Amino acid sequence: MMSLRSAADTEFCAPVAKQQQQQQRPKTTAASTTTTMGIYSVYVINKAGSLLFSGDYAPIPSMDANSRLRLAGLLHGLTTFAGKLSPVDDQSGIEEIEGDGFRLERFQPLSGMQFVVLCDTQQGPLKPFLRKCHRLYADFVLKNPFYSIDMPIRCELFDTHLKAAVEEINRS
Amino acid sequence: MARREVKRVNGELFTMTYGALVAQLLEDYESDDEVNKQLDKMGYNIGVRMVDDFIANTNTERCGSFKETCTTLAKEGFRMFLGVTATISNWTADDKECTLTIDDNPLVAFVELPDEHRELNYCNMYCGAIRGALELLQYRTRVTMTKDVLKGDKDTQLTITLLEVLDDVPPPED
Repeated sequence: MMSLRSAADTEFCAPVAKQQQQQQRPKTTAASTTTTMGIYSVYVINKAGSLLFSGDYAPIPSMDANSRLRLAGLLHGLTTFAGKLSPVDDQSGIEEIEGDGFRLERFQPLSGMQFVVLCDTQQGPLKPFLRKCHRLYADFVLKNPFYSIDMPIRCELFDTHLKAAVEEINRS
Repeated sequence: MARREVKRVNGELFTMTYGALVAQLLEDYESDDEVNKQLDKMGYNIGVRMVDDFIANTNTERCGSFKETCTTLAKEGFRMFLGVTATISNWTADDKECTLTIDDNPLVAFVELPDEHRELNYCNMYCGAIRGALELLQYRTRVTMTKDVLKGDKDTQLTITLLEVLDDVPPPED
């Protein structure tokens, strides 16, 4: 459990650094007229708990690749555990984690892939956004014949469409 | 989104592409058996990719049983990807084996199977695709062609046998 704390701290302290961001923001998103941050990051984790994709969409403290991998594995482990805790037959696992300065939403379609989004507390429900992520994954990752299943996602089309989807949310 | 733009492809182009593929495989491999295997393998790779597309674009709820899953696959899956429907019948008493009948098999429209390729299961890609799709939904299955219009049967029939329900996913590799 210690490792959960330490690994989680790296990511979940993002809201602590929010003060900083708010000072930075005018510089980094000068063109934007928004006042809230919206979506911080998006993660795609496969059914075995390996991180296939991660992207940051706000000026949050960046994390190195290993911490991200560990975090994905941990979240996966926790959600399996959460499913086991449930007194009723419920395989959905963790759907949401809320903190003082951030919210995590997780969506797992029937195929077992996991889509995770980190956002600020003001952000409304992101289930539709996560469904869209799944569609983008089905379209631009799986239908790309040169993508091998369960390998890290390096598909430019996926990147650009996901970025557009995030920006659409962050703008509204 | 991409799928909206390419929603309709000429059906004959699809049929002919598949035909060209099978013909090329027959040239490249020695035996019909080997070609069947290759078709199954290709189908599998398509199946594991297709299932997410299906789930993402339909509002399918979790199916409660293997039986329900097969019915959804036959009714909605075939309609979504091939524009035809298939029917499921002949369930065994333990609900582990059934027959899937493809009513209007689009792959065989112009095909006459040559005498020297009697062992070829021309539509074997279906088997792989179904196996792949079901595997992602935690069902390990064996899918075989049992009736083939090209071999004089009345319709195309596949037999789906449930071998195992995959329960625990492998632990994440670090």
